[in-house]
Amino acid sequence: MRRPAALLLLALLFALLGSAGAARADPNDYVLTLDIVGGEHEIETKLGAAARARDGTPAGEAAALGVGYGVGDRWFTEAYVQFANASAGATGGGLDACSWENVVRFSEPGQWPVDLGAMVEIERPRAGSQGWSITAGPLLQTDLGQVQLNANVLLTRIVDGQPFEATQLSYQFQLRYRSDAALEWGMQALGDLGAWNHWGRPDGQAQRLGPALFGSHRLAPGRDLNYNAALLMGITPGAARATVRAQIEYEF
Amino acid sequence: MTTFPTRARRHWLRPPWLGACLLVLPIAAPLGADEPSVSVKIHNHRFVPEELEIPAGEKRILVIENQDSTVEEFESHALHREKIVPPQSKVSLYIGPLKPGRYEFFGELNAVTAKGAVVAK
Repeated sequence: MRRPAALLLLALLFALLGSAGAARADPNDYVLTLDIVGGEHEIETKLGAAARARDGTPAGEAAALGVGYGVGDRWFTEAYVQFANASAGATGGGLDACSWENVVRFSEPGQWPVDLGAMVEIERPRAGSQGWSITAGPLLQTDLGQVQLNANVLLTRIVDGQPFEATQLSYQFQLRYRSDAALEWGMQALGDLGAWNHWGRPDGQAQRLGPALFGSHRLAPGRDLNYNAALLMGITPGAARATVRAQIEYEF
Repeated sequence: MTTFPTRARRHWLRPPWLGACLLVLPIAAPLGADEPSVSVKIHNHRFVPEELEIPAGEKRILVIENQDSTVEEFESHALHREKIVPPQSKVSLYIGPLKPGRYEFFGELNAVTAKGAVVAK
């Protein structure tokens, strides 16, 4: 990585590791990738439904609608609104938050053994007392033959809000076996480990793991429909027993 | 990500956050000039040549020159690469190392005529 990029990443990590707030997984959380196409537009929806967790966390559903744009081959930006039902959301249902998400890639795909990037998301919950949520972290992606691997580590902190806990640490992992573009299989794992400097006990963490499907359908020249969906099973008491999530993107 | 309250505390915005927000800016890392390259042209909505041979197990820079007056999008699911090629311009991307085999690519905007393949031997 070039020196300025390394310095920026360090600045980001130091900033995140200060005092912070809490965050929790949404049923429609998804795995970020570094597949960025400059000049491409995107309309996408992210849906999810989670069953009750073993620790009593209620069931819930969430949905998001976003528009994104590949500003260049290395920067994708997206704004979206998040909706949640009364149990999943923090605001009593309906509109839950507005978010601005950015993914940057520090290298060309295949340039290094592992492609490196980063994400920064700024979220404003509808309930103003909750301040602003900022999530950031490194994104890794590589191809091993026909297998695409993604691993992301994210830190979330709340700024100027009523809730307070240490900065939250979460991870995302994805394996995708690339074969037929229309339908591919793999697995996804999403986990919230608790405070970044004091991981919660396993029974307080929310870790989910399960099979996933991926696909892409060409609708017209330059217009594609991409999707991925997963059935994630809770592997810790703090996670929903089962979560069904899907992401559908219309690219043009 | 949804947030929820636990206990109250006043927060403030620290200057390092400004640096953190700068991460949204693209950070350039140019293609390495020391990698061997192979070239293909887009002419009349066709790839010329339509077949590119590279050694198996080695990385190459693929240089795509669009000689047409319309934009094209290079796409290859097999190579896991997708890139827009503006008219009258060149773009570069890394391919490989590849196992021996045939890896097809096409022009997303002229998929009927713009077809080609990388053959790794």
